[in-house]
Amino acid sequence: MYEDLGFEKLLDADGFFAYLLGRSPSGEDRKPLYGSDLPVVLLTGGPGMGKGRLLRAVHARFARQVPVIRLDCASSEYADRAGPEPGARSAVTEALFEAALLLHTWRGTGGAFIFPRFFAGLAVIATGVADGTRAGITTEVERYEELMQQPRLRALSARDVWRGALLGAVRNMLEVLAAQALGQDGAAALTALLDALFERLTPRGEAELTRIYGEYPGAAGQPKHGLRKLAVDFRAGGEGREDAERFLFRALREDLEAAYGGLGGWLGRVGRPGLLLDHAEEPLGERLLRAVLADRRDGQRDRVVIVGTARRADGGDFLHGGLPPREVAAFRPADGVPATWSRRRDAEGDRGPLSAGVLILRMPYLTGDQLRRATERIQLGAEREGGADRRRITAAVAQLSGGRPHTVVRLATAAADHRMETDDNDRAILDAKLHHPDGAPERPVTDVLLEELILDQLPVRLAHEHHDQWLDLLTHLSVAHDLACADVLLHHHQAGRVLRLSAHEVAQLLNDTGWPSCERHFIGDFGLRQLLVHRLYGLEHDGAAWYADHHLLRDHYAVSEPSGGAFRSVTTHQMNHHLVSGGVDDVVRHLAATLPGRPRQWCEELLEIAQAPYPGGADERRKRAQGLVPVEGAPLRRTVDQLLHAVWLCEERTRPTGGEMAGTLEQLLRLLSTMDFDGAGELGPTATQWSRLAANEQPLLRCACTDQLGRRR
Amino acid sequence: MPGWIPRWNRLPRWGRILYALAGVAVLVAAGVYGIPAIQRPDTCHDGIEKIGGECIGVDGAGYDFGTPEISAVVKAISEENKRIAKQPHVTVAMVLPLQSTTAGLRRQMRSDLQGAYLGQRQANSGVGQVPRIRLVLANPGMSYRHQDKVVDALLDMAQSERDKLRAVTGFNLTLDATEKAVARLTESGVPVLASRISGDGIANVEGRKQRFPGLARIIPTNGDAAKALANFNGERGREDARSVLVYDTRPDAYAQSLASAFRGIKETGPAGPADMSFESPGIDEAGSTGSQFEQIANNICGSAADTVYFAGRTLHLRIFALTLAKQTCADRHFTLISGSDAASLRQNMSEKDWAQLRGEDGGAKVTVQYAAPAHPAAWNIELAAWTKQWKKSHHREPTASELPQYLTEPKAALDGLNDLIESTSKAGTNLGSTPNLEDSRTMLVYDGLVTVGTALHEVQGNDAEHAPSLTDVRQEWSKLQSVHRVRGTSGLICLTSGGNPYDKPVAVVELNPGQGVRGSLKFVGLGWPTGKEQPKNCVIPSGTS
Repeated sequence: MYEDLGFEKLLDADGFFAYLLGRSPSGEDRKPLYGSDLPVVLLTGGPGMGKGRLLRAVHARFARQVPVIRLDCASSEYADRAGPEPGARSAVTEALFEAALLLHTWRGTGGAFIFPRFFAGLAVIATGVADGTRAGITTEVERYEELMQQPRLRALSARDVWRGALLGAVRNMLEVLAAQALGQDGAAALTALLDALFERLTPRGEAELTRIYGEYPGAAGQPKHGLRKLAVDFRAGGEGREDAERFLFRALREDLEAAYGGLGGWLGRVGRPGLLLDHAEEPLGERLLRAVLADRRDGQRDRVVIVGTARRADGGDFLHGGLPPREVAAFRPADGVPATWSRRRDAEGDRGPLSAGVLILRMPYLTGDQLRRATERIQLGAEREGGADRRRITAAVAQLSGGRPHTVVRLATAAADHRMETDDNDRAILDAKLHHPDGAPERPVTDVLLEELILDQLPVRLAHEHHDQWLDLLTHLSVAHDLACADVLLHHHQAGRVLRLSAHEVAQLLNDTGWPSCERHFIGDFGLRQLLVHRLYGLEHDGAAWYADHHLLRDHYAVSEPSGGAFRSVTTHQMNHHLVSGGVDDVVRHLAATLPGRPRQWCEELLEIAQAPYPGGADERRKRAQGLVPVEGAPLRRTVDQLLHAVWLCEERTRPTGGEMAGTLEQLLRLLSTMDFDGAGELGPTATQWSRLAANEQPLLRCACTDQLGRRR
Repeated sequence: MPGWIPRWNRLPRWGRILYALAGVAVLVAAGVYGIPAIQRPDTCHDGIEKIGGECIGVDGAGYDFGTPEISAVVKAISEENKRIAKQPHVTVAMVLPLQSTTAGLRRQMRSDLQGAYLGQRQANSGVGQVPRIRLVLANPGMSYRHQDKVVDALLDMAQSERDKLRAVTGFNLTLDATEKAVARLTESGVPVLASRISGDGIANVEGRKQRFPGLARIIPTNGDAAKALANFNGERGREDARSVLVYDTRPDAYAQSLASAFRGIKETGPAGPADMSFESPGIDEAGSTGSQFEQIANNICGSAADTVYFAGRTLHLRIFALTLAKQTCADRHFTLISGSDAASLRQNMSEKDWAQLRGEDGGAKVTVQYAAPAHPAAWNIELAAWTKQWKKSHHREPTASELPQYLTEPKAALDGLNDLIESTSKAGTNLGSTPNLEDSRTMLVYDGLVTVGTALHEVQGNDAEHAPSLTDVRQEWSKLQSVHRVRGTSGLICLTSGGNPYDKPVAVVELNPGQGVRGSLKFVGLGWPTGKEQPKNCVIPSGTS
């Protein structure tokens, strides 16, 4: 239902993919984007940004018109299939075999593809089967034979130089195998197979194999040597196997290229073939991308459109070759599609990082309009009584999702049946229950989202032993601001574990997963942080876990005296944690005491201290800010108390503030500016500035996550 | 575009190449078949082109050219053609505009064709007389404007062994287009017999080189008719002081020939008013003629003239007559003398118009006199008058042989025609209506066909299968005189060497307001261009040709 949400422009008849694949979804001709040196397109974005959804949508829309296939690199199927024959198969060869099979069954314009070049490579690695017997090898080779079968009608044409020769050669070879006694290492079988293969090959077929396998490292232009080396390397594993796999993938692409070349291809084929690699950040995907990027960097050209996914904004470590990331061609759909692309010229030439051959498509956040429309459409199903409620929910969904499409859909769906008061915190909708359309029991939307965004998409490099604690760790880390903060929490919560994760490692893993930190928050994504904070508060009764974490940090910054980290000072940092864990009065006292004489610094400290989520339970901040709750003390202290609550409310950004709070802020600051202490008058300009920001719902203190919220608007 | 036809931009290259080849094939096919199809003339019927909404061409198989009034008579002609198809025959074409938006004109066409049919029947009636006549109808369009197409077809038919076109007849209007058609046909050696053309421009002048070699005419030219009228009116019409000429300056062959004929009348006595001219915008357009006539009539009033020679078309004659009747001097009685076109005047006058021509006492203020080419009552009245005169001088009834041939022979021919009409009607042949001879069309066209038939029979050699040549027929016209005279219902037809009818009488008729609502047309006598009756046996005196 929401498959296209946010991708309409990318997918339509004149969108990026229509031009990349050379056909519109309805099959109209499009002048293909870019030249013969095609970039590998990487869709980048964190979990829930719709990378996989986009690939599915591209496949659904275009697969009838152009040969586009989609592989899920996170699927364990390929590894499972390769498992029984570790010497003759790998996840990569299985994935490639599947790709070839899918293209072999393509029935659109131009018809099926055959893969003689790829088959030759597969046939030689088949000699590495575990038992090494004639029967074993024969079975393995026969498994791939389908890739050579032509559709009945086409088989009659004389156009094909392979079928008679290569298939004949294979038959011949299998007979030869049957007649020979074979050694255990399969070397004899390999020799026999290669001899038989080349004995029957036509000169053109041999030239083709020479062109591809003659280039194999160490082959010296001899295809026979190349194929033999390929089989040996594959069996050897390690880097050798990677080379072998790279050549197999190249052979597959060469087969596609050959199908498009020649008179038949020129007359009958349309668009470009496409290979969509979902979850390409997984090892399998990375190997495939690395193979094609390396080939293209080395000057190999083919017209296969490769689209992969990446969670990291820079596309992933493997692209950068251990060097600091260089500038990569990238675009956001909203900014328009780059009409041209050219390979980045690196000083290292063909030893440069693979990122030179990449074009990054940054997954779009939903725009305010798209978000509103989607939320309203979802809510239309549930009859709401008042428009105010619906607006409130729409605003809450917008705020908590930050425009992340998946979160929008989940929250809006859950909130459709949820009643929300005008003055509720946005996080109230996180309590909403999500009904599963298939009748499974309903679950809180927070749990569903955390499962889908975190547990289902664990960092690729997260060691297995940490899988069980990953979500809990992140939950606790939701209150952390910086690495030091995080380390304190990690140390505490991993006590008793032998293998521990450091804050640096966690930050790294989060970054790899598409959840980068911001300069003021360890969990940089506003929406994810709200989910985790919400979970943290609900982890134990009455938010005990929440208080415990904040107390831990408060105490840490009280006793030791490290630097303030993300904060201006240790005290500010301490006060921030103290504020949200029951220390309001202490904070007010501290603020009232530190104001006179240094109003400017004081204002900055106030913003840092008050940039904090509010714990669950009754929220009196609005009343207290407006002076409706009686507070003891001198006028300065009472006013500071009011101001703190007003600022806290505005900075939390999960509650409607608007003009009312802007007025309160201004009024309180003006009141302070008239009081009798040093520098009171300097508060006047601040009053104007803050009230203006608050009136326009702008953050009082900016950081990367508040910027992300702002971008959507 | 239907969904099952793949769009151009969705096809692989081979599909596009196929499309392109198909496109080229379509273009080639369009070039080979389409363009000729577009260029092929639009047709009304087999062999009949549709040009500007008119059906132009030649047909003898019963096509009525979309004019329902003539359907029956056209069918009768085609039946006659079928009847003689197996006998030795030649083709004679009848050229006549056969389409009109005016019902009156369509009825006139029917009268013409009835004459043609009856003439064909008469010519084909002689036992063993060959060749028979196959009659085809040729429609040259309104005002003969597409005569070139029709002439093309006729010339082809003249050359064709199958059609053997040997004469073309018809032609009812003196127009430039008619002249061109006649000129082209005669230049190409095709004999033409113009049955109802009166203009002097479409006639050979005796003693000079023939402009239209092979043209025969059977009614007097305007000039001869004018002379006949003047002769008929005797001294009164020649008195210069009492006569005046009013003429149209618009180039119109009929009006010009009429004017020059009236000028040619030798006048006597003191000089009268000078010729008066007017200019009309067209045959059937009034334009400013009303105000022009006002002045002319005024001037005439002021003069002593009471005989006005009017050289113009019917429409203008009508306007002039009405204007003259309005003048204060209209207690005088005026006689307007005009040409054959005035025959249509009666049809064009409304009751109110007639009333205007009448004086308060009921007497006529204006009578219109003109020379009709024929009148059915002529022979009986003239014969009775002649007999009366004869009896007065001889005091006994004349014997049959004493009766004048120039009256008895046409009378016999007319009786023959009446018998033929009656027998045709009895035989159940539908001619669309019973032929009415009063407007002379039927009689003249009939005479034309009979003349052609006579010529064909005269030149037919002994071999019945060998049709006479065009030259034979062309040369035969001038031999139709004396013993070979043709006894026409409109008078004896004796052709001169120029193909003109010698001293062919005109029927002088008078259009009188009378007492009835529609006025009356009265035969008043025969006028002779030479001033006296045709000689015995219609022998053309030497010096004439």
